[in-house]
Amino acid sequence: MASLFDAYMPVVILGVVSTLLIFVTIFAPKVLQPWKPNRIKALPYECGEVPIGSNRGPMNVQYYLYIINFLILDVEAMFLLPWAMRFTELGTHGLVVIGIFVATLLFAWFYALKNGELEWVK
Amino acid sequence: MTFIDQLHSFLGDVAAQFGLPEMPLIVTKLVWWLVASVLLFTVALTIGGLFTWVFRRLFAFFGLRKGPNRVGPEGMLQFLADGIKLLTKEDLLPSKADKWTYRLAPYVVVVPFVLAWAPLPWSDVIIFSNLAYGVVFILAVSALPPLGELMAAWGSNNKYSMYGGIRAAALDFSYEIPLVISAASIVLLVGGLDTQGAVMAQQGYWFGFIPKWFVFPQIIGAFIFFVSLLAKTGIIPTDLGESESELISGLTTEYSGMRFGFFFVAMFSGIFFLSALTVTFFFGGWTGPGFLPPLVWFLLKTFGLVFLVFWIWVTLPRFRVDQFLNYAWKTLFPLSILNLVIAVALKVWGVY
Repeated sequence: MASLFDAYMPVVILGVVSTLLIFVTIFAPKVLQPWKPNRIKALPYECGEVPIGSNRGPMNVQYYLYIINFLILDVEAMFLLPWAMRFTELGTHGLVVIGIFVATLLFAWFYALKNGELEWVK
Repeated sequence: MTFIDQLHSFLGDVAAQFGLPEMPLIVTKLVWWLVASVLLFTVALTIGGLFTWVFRRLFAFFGLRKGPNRVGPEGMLQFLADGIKLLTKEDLLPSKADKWTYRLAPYVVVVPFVLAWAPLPWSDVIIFSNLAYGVVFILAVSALPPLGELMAAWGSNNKYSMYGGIRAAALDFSYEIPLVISAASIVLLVGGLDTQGAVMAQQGYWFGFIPKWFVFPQIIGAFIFFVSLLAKTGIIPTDLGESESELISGLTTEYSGMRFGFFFVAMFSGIFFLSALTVTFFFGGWTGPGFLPPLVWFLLKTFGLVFLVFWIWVTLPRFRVDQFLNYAWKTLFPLSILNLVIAVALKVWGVY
């Protein structure tokens, strides 16, 4: 395994290089492009109709419940990774502890399911 | 002796011939990483461009048509023509758009996507950077594009974009959990977090002829992983964020020119990436009998899965949004826990 610098410096360079390349690809061809903006062209596209009302309409409240459930279960999933990596070293103790942890969150998932929090349309 | 050391000594020899002083090792490293970055970025996005042609040809053959066959041999240069068209298209800014989020969204979608390719093992030696925590890195950076999708949705200030962005983000984070848990069961069997180690663990054969791929003991996990990545890539039947017929291509409605091109190409490259990841974790990566080089094995398996993805694309209609989200929360999540229990049982009984 390479050192920390050797492993992560290429990734940093890759991030910088791809940002720059995207920037160049978007802005370099400006010389080739026509540029004749007008009011009608810049309207929000709604199949030719003139848009009515706010374009950021009310959002379904279920969305927030989804995100809260996602946060809980995703934290669970992330905690599984380090345990899974050191499964042999942690042994029976680790297995029991993670079993209780997963069982608790499975119960929470079941509760959310019964309460209908996991329905997109209620 | 690693590749960088060889390159460094070669450059040192060349410099000595011209009587120049030798460069420090760090300069060679930085220059090579720069070249490799440009190479990886180009490969990652050109594959997407090429796939637009492959997909249109395949789609036509599935429907007993011919598809694009005029530009270049068998229409192979069609994607270049499309690219030139996108490059010379007027780059509109909608009047009501939120300028900064609208302009930044393509970067937030594409840069993490390209970063996720870094720990992908192409063969036993071809890997951009063999990170010790490669699996976590891939999962972490591939969780970022929903942010860009929401930025595109909010920034373009269009009803359809807003609905598309919300749907796409909901889909992405719903399928995040089964994805991470099925990856955790692979990590458990491997006992490490680097991608190259996951491939190494799948070398060898059971009974002399069945390859030790994780797809056999972890068939449920492979299915969950593949479906979750398909949902996160957002192609038909899971393209709820940009369903053309309901949301007039959803979050990319207001984008034109190369800004749209980047969203589009990232989606098509995503097909290659999801196949490559599934191959790495479940189908033995670059391992295979010795008569072909590892890179060829990797590409063969990956293109097999890519063909499967295209096949699914042309066969299935789009899912309804609530059905498909229910599928993640109510079916795939308990299944992924079951899959983890199976992995624990395999490990405890000493199969791995």
